[in-house]
Amino acid sequence: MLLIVQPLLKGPRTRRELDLFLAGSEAHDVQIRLDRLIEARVIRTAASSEATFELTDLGMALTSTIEELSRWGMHALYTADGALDPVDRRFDQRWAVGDGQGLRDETYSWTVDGHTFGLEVKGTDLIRTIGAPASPIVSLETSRDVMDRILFGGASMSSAIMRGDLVISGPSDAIQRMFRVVGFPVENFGYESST
Amino acid sequence: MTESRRTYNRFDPLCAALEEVGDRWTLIIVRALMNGPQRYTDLKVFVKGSGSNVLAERLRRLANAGVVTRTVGSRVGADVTYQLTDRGWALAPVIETLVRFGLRSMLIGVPGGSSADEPDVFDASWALSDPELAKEESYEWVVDGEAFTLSVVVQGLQIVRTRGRSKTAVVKLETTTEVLEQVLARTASLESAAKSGRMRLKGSPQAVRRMFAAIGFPPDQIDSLSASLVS
Repeated sequence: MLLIVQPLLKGPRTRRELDLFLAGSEAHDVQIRLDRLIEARVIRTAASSEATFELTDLGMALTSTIEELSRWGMHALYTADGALDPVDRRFDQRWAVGDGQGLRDETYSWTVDGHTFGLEVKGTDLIRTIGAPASPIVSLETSRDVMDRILFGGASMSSAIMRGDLVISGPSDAIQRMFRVVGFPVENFGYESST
Repeated sequence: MTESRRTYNRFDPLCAALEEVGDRWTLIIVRALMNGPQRYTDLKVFVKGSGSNVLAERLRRLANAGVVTRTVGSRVGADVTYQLTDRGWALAPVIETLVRFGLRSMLIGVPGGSSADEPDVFDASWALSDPELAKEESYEWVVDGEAFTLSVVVQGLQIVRTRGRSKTAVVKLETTTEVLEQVLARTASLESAAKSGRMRLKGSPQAVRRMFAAIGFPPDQIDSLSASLVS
């Protein structure tokens, strides 16, 4: 249910947009969840169109819940040191990249709190591998705290880079693609290429 | 039992969190452990109504995720207790925001919807685990001018919410969404809201106390309010 609320935090969405975001779910399941959220007064259909959904005031009250859950969930996602999840994992990123136009099959290296893992793009999939990957096109090094501030604390990426809290190297077009495929919010892209 | 672990397979922190604690009952168990270490039998009260394997299965998964640990007492035959790890305690803000949302949806989100005249039934056993506090009675709430009645049903420990006023209410409460939000967000205390008149309460201090306990208001807030009502 929260996965339907999540995209609506940024504004009304049409059913088509929601289906894209929920790629992989059955249309029937999505409809059941939409109906339940409407009944619970969390969302409503927009006045302008029956096929557009928006959050009610009550639904907006879930903003902080989604943010706190995401913040907590970063642990499992970014600290891929093998302690929690020792195997490679394959993620379906269609929710973030749609049909994947403009992406390339390439590999990024992330080091978060001293733990290094690879992110390998294959079509619209992202494969997280444990340990330093071979020949990454972009390398990123930071801490979970810094990630937290950028994603949820309103800190900009460029200020984190300037302070040296986030070290990133690689061609700027590849960096753009990388942030897109991991689903970072576009409004936080405000960084200057540091290549 | 086959493990039907829910996976979203998205590189997204929200999904990562939901995979670990998004199943029904899981956060209820975590919240129960925020009162301190609990034995398996203590925890059963909090998951009343779930299937027979659910508690054991959720505890095992919470342990695997590093959220909960088990301690076996040193005495022979001592009970196993469960407690939160640091990672488990890090869920406190999640639970706080969810409780605030839940209370808001239960207490504020009453305006005329499609099912306007259908009573809503809530399980209150988690809040009313002390049977001393449960009493079959009704409370009348007026929030932003909208009246509804909360009635405690001792049999089954439920709260029934109906629209409209109550002739038999032992407590009458009148306030605004804004004040409730502040109290739930802890930017204002129940006591200060009552004293400043922004929340008007009519009823005996004991009944007021039972009412807030039954709907699961934080105990410390209720304590400070009752102290001020008695004086």
